[in-house]
Amino acid sequence: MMKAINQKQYAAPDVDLQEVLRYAACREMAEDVLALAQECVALAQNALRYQVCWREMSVRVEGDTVELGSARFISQKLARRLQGCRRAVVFAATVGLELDRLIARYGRLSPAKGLMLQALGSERIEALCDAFCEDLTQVYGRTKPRFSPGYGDLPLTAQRELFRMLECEKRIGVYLNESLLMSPSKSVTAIVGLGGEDENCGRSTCRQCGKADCAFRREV
Amino acid sequence: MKFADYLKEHIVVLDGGMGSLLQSEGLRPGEEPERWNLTHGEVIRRLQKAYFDAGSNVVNTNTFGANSLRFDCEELEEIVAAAISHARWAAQHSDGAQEKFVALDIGPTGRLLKPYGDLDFEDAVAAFAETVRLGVKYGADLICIETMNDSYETKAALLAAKENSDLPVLVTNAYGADGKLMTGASPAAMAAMLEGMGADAIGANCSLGPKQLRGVMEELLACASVPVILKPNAGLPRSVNGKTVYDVGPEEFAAEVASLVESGVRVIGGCCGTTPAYIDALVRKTATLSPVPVTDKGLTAVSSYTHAVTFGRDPILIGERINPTGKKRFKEALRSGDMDYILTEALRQQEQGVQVLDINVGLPEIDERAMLVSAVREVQAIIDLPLQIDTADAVAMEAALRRYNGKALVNSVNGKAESMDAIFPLVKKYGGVVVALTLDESGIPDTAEGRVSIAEKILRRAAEYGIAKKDIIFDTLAMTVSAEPTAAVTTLQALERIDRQLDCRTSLGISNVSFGLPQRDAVNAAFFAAALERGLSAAIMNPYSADMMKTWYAHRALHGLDENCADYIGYMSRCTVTATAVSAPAPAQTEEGASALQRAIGKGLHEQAGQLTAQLLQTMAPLDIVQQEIIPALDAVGRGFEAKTVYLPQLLMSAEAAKSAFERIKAAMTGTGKSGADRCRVVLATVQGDIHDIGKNIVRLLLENYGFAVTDLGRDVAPETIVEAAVRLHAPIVGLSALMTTTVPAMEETIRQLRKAAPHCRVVVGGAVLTQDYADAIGADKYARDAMETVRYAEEVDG
Repeated sequence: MMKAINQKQYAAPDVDLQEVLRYAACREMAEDVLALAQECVALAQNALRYQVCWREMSVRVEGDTVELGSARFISQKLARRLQGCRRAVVFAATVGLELDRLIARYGRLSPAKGLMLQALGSERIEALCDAFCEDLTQVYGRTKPRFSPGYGDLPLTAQRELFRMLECEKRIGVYLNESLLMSPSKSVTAIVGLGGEDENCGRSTCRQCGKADCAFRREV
Repeated sequence: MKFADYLKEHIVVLDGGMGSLLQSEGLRPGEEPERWNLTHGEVIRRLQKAYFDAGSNVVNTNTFGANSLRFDCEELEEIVAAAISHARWAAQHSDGAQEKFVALDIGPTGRLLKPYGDLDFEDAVAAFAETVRLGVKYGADLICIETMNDSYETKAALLAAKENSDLPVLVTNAYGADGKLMTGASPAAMAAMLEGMGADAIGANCSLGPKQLRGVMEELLACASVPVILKPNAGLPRSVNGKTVYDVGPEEFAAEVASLVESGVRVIGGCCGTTPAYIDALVRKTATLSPVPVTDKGLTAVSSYTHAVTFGRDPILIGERINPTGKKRFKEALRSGDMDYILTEALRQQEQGVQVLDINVGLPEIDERAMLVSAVREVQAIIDLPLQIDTADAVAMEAALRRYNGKALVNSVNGKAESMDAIFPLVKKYGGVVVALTLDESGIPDTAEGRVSIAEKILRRAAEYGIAKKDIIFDTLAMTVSAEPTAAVTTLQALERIDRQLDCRTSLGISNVSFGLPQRDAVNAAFFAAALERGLSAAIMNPYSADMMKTWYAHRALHGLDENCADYIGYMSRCTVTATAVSAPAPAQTEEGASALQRAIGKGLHEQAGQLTAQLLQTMAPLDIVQQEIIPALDAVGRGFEAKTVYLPQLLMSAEAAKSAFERIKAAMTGTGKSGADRCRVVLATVQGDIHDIGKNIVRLLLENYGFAVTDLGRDVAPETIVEAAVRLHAPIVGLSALMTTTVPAMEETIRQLRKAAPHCRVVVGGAVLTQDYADAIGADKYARDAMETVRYAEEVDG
């Protein structure tokens, strides 16, 4: 059966400046760049609102077909990720629209700050998702790494189904546009398998990804 | 009885939740509840009758999501017709003795409006308008706009209701736990905008329980001059055995809501989780309460999409700098459509502490209407201050007011019949506080009495249009004191009399007073202080003038408007810091000046780069500075980036430093007929459907630094617009950016159209999802993996 939609506002997770710089395509903690990053953290502090809504769903995996509640997806990668899971949590997370306004403001007037705020937003939303997934692990025990539309062979059109399940617009103010972009831009939707087999549990890492020449690839 | 009359004298009881009841009747997740009007009419009638039986005065039709974005014309009409007939049936068949009304329910579209979403404001208005017209056609008694969590969409819905019906309109918003809408608006901001547009009652529904909405209610009760509505959820939801349950039962719910009725709430009901049992309890609990009369709070308030600004004893600063009068560089920016000049001025003024921004883009040779609308849109995209829309062109004024997100300050109307007949209808329709100049057909009176009597005339005419005096701010016209010795005194006397005798708010354009005098700041500040002392509520002023700012801070400290003088102390300590920084010895300006500029650019120190350029301009020709200093410095950084010893943020910081150097160069060359750009034209755009533009902005910054004349069309740009610009400007290069796989087809289409209409044009593409293969497949001439590569390619094409 379909469970209720939950929602929660999170406190700010700690900022990892090294991650921020990685998203800004900067591999060195140079002093001037670090100062810029810190300035942006201060600028954004009051603009960020960390919100998540989620719903527990039943899962059925058959071959490459994954059924989440009444929705059906064809994706080999997702099927593999949810192998052995009978339930999953579908969630949407966002750090809010105010950050988009800040990014737009500085994107026009100071692209360096715009870039850094953008990078900070990426770091923030990832940190929020990690915090939420850690909570899930606390509650449910074993969980699979989160999997989003656009990962591997799960098409972006899957967003439409996830939005239907989660009422993101009403719950946390996240909207899907015609091109399947989300607003606020620093938002994530994902599926987290609960239980299942031992392997591939916990956080996903860059090593699991085949794109070795990625500019953002983590060294470790 | 008409609903509007009933609302005047009574506590009005609305209905409760519908969605949760439909689910328990078998509505499946994802199924459209509005279709149940056609397939399960008897269920709808039964549920709505239960609400009337419980004592509701108003039941909403089951049309929350019934709009033309979700349903085609024909089905939409069937749905609305059936929905109204069900609710009407329920009213007629309920044996409740109370007055009963049927409200056309209008919920949000589920889409976010531009600029952060992709739904155009006018498309939203059109979608709501269709539903409103059907509601009128099939006989709804009133309209309920509800659960709106964005101020702009709320405005679109209310505008559609007002333009297409004479029905009373109730408007409720969904406030979050922080007491604001998802897109940032406070209750006071919503009250200012909605009342200004003529909503009959305003309030909150959904999202939280009555307890959590108490703060929102208190804020609305303090500022609203129309009845306040509360339609909360049955507390907060939680999941019990897989079912959603709410934590507040009917009796507790009714008690909470009733206590707010005692504080003044006049329209009550329930939202998610509430049932006829809740309404029954609510009716019993409030039966003996008498309605608290709704009073006119007399607030003169404007708003943005986040907050309201109220004019009263604490004087408001209105930044005057976005006005081309006497500014060569601004005029040039307007002619070339350079929006960044306006945005930079807007941001700088906000940083100086102004609370409202005046926007004037009037120039004889430009399309003022289009420019004003786009300036308002662009400024509102990034700055949350309310705006004062400043134009003499009523058509431009209407276009800007219509699109404005909030309640604007309207600059201006005057005592001429023609002016009042043009401007007052706009203020009435779109809301606004209007600045009224005390002059008329016979000119500006020489005496205070003359100006006060024009003010009285303006008030009378405004009242005929239904505009209250709280929505008028009088400007008694500061005249040049060097031309007429008694000018300032007359202005001040008129100001004082309007403040005391008419009890109206006032504003002055301060800087006029000092024309033709040396050290104008001193005269301005003294005049400002005198006006403040006489009750001035707002000043249109230059926030870069330290004398003016000091006067304002001191006035507030002296009049108990600045607790512990904290603002004054804060401002003065910032002043001292800036003064020290300015007086510090400027680094090496003599023979080392040249290399100092190169160093400043290399290190990304943009203030220093600007200052050093200004110094160099005293001894060097502008173009020599570009060739011998700026370009070599930029090249060194660019090569470092290509060699991966300089990272992207550093490249950008240097580019910004170079840009501030170029700003000085441009200013020095304004009027010489040379622009400093000696490279070819490049048209840039983020393609249709894509709203990410940071990458494109980076490319633009670098291209400009390298001397290319860039026309930036912005983001989400239609192929036709890009082609039109490329053809019109005969641009040899077009740069296209896309972030998402879903928007690459738009890029491909743009290239296809460019090939046909502008075969001379080379197309360079970039963006996160693009690769060389992808670029080849869609027929681009060049794939650039970063901004520097775009610059190198442009240099190659330009030869």
